[in-house]
Amino acid sequence: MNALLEQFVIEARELVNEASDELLALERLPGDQQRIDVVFRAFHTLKGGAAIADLPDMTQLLHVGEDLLSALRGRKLPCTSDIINALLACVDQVGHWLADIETTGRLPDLAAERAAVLAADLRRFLPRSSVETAVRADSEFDWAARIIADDPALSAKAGHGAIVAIAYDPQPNCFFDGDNPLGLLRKVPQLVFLDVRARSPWPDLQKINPFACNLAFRALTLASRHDVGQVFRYIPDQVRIAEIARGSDSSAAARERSSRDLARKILAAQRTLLAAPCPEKEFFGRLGAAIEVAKNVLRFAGAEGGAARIEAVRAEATSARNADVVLRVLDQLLSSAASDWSKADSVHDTEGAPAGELPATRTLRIEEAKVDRRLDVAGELIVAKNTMNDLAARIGAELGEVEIARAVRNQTAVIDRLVGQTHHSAVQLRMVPLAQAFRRLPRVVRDVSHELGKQAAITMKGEDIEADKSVVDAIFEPLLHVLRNALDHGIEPPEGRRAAGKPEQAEITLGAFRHGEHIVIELGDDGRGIDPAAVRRKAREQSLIGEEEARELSDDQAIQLVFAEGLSTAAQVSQVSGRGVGLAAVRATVERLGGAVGVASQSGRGTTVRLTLPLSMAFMRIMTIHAGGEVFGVPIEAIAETVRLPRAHILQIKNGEAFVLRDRIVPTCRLDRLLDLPNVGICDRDNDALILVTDAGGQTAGLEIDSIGERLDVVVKPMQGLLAEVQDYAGTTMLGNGRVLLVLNLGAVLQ
Amino acid sequence: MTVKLNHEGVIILAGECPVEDAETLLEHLQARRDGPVDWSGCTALHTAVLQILMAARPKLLGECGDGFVRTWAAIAPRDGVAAKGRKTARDRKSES
Repeated sequence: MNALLEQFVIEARELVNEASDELLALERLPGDQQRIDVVFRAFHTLKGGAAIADLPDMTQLLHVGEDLLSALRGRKLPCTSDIINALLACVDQVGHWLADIETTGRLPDLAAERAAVLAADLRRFLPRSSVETAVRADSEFDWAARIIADDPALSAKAGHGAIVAIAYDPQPNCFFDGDNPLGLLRKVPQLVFLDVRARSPWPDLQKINPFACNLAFRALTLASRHDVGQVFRYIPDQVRIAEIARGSDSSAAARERSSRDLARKILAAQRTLLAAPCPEKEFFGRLGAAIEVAKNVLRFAGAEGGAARIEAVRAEATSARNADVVLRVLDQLLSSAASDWSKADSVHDTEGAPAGELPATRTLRIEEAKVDRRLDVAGELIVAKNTMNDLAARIGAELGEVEIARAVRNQTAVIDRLVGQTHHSAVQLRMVPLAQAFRRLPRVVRDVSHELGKQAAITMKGEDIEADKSVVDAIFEPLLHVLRNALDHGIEPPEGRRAAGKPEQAEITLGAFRHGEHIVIELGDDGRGIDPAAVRRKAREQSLIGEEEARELSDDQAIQLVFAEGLSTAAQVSQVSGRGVGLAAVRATVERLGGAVGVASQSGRGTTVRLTLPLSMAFMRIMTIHAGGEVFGVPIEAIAETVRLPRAHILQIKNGEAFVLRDRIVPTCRLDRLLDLPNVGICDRDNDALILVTDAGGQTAGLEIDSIGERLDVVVKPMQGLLAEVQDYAGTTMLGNGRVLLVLNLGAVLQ
Repeated sequence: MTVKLNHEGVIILAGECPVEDAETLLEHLQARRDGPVDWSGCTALHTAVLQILMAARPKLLGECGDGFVRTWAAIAPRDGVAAKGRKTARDRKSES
């Protein structure tokens, strides 16, 4: 792929996103002129880019879309959901093509056909007149070409000679100048056509001024242009004369014309064939053949749009077992001038927004790898700086309060600050707004709710909050799962909502806010909510929890079980969701990102799923812990609290251990055992047990450890290579003393 | 004066109808919009006169005596189209 195309794909993708966002917004608020403007500009810019990138099929499709938007903009058309659907289809197609271009470097083979079909779909909304005026404005003498094309006898009469067209618009006061327009026209030799018509509608007869000329004349003659000019030599300002391109038959125009004559005959034959009575069993064969022939002949005549019009009615004719719709299109084609078949396709530029009007976005594109390299270096700087801190502390300890020690400590503090800033700015480079993940969701709401026969609207808040690109990229899938769940299980069908006294259209809210070093994303619906009893029952049936545990769980705790592996409360697996992996997968993804999930629900009132994620994955606050003779890092946010309690308070329940924490039974386990490490014997009967309480596994659990170390801000690198598959660790980090620390993923450890 | 009103109430155009006739014709037609107008006797119609006929579209008696107008500028009845040169041209072709 060349650089030009590459650049186009990058920019086009943003424009496609923008256009589809705004189109969806338009659907909610039809007629919002500002949004129409934005979509129009996006189409316009896309079209320009596609033309430069030499993608004619894409250009043509976008061009028709732009025409349609221009009509919406000029309020010549109401902004209906049908139009928006068609425009969205167009935007989607462009999006697919961009993906194709990215992988193969070009448009797929059938792009032209696809573009023609979509363009025809868009074009059917365009007011006929707007197409015609646009065409007429293109060329002063189109009427002449049309008449010549429509009247074979006239061409025959002209033979190889030229036909000269005259457009004569006398001035209103021409009679006072002694002009007699009819008299002049009488003098035109070899006149073959004359059309006299009123230039503006006639006024009431009582008010008419008999001496003001209100006539316009259009004439064709076989005489030479020079001879015609002679006739009108005194009034050159009121007449326009042109030779209509015909000339010798070897000219391209003539070839085109003759091919169109042929096309017309073949089309007429298809019409006759389809109109003739036909035995039932032959109908489809005949219809198919006629459509194929008509399409091919129209393409041959350069009228791709005509072919698309035929194709557009094929399905209707087939399902109705009736060729009437095809006949109608054929009639329209046959009754319009051959030049119009393609005229509707002709590329003409509508007035676009000048480039200067576009809001200038001052951005710089940088390859992600470069930013990451910068971040890596900044991370290494932090490690080096931590080492410096160690050294400064040692110098202080060994030399005592001497000047050199103080100077080193001061300089270390300066470096500390600068390194912090460097790292922070590197992290900032990777920060992108959540909107990048959110913007695709309204479309999902729309499509999925249609599919399910439900009505839902989504409102979004906080989409301008920024988070690390990897977080934003990774959050889309989980959000999609949660959203589909809400639409499928949460939201009732319209009749159910009516019965429950709710508006038929469900409200889905997606909100994000910052909470310290985290972002919290909440997706709520106003549907039926989660029934805690049903979740308990299911969890029991699927042996996810024990009998006793089921009783112990509060309603609030019970509904958290929807995140447990293998639990689905949906009675049947639907196409959209309900396979019992959805929410567990959400939890797994979010926890891998160093986040947490939670759900709140009120029966009959709705459900809110809350995802808590780190703002930046690069920087993590951890606590070091000791277990089994090893040191590990644990993300602070995974730790709900740490408790120290007499070992006697740990109860044996069947095979497991548990303890009571504020009237709740919390299952607990020794970390060294979970990690298959030797028991180094600190945990004996005499010592108190030290337990980390965590919610990371989807439910509260305890992890017994040997001791707690220090708190650190570290740069965690994900596990790579063979180790990438090891779920128990979130990644590694380097300590100030050069040791590598493994950071635990408590959620996975507890599985 | 080539525009006359005969005793049967028919507006008659005769001979060469110059530009001034437009005003006279208009006055007659303002009084009786439907005419009728007998234009078979006129030999040359001025543009201004044709224009009045096109605007008022009265009932026309006979064929226009002006061959050029007859060929190229047929005036349709009031509910029709103002002028249809092309059709007339074809008609003439089929006649010949």
